[in-house]
Amino acid sequence: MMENLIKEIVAIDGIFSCYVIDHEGEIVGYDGGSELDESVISATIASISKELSTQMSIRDDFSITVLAGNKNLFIVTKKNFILAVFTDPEIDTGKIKFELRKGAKAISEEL
Amino acid sequence: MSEEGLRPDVNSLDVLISLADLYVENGLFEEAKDLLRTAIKENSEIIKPYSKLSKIYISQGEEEEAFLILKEALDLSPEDEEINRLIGSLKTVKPSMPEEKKEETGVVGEEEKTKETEKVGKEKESETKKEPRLIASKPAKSSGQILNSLLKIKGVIGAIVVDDIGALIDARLELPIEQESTGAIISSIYDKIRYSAADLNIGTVNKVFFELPGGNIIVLGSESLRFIVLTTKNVLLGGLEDVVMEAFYKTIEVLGIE
Repeated sequence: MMENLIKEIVAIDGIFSCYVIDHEGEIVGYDGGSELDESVISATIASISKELSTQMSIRDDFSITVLAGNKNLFIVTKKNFILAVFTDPEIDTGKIKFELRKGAKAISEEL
Repeated sequence: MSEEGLRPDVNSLDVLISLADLYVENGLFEEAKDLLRTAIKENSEIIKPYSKLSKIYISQGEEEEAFLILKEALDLSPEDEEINRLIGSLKTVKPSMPEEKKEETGVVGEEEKTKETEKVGKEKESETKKEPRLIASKPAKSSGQILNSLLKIKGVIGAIVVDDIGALIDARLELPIEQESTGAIISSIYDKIRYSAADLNIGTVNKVFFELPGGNIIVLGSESLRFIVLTTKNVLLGGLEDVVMEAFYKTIEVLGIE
């Protein structure tokens, strides 16, 4: 189930929250704490993903890793959905990418 | 920017050299240089693109750059008449003092460092040159030198520096893509992420990595500068992070930006 898949991702050490969003910015599922409104977060993430795919004419899957001062943001854009996680800035980015690849594959199958 | 792609599909030496000649005839020197650098990367044992590239630099009065290229060619073929003639024609660079000149350029490849110790096989030398390291004993003199040194790293196929509004400052590309528009597009996406960071409460954005179907992009930014590095798809971005950071800070330094 989607809920369980998201919970598994959030259970990974260093991941604060996880969002599965459609390309219009609607939340499909999420877990983890955030001080912000989750609809603002999902809309912003979808908007970043759309900006990249539109400006660079990308139709296939792609990913964006944003390393920032307070948190890191990982976005995996698939054909039917966007998977995004916020993490500790000190986290091993390679490990997170690997886990997100696995998670995105499982979510694809679920959807 | 081509659709989903950052890779060129023209790797033939003859095609690259012919195109470069055409660019030179039409005064498109930067484009010609980019093609010749690709030709050298793809055919590092063939002398012709080295001599062509050095001639462009000489014609533009950039003898230090020309000398570094000619020195690489001379190591491959010490008896090559044209290379020796071109080195002899340099007015401001003394061929008898290569180490001094290399230090002045500030960006010294691992290849040169290796040569200082002992001679090694050409294959090994070529591999060493492409390790992701940017060694500088003294500050580089220009952003172009810094970008050139990045292009020597295996998997790096382009580097672009733009200002905060996306206007081109400098670029070195091994791809047949338009450098101004590519820089502006990537810069605008980076800015979108930077401004979105406030909505997402993630703090100041330091670096952004894009892993796209046709290749990867690393973007580092300051208030007034965007430093963009394009790589092939198979490159591990984590392995390049330090060297790109170093190049970014050096660029800020040579451009005199706070």
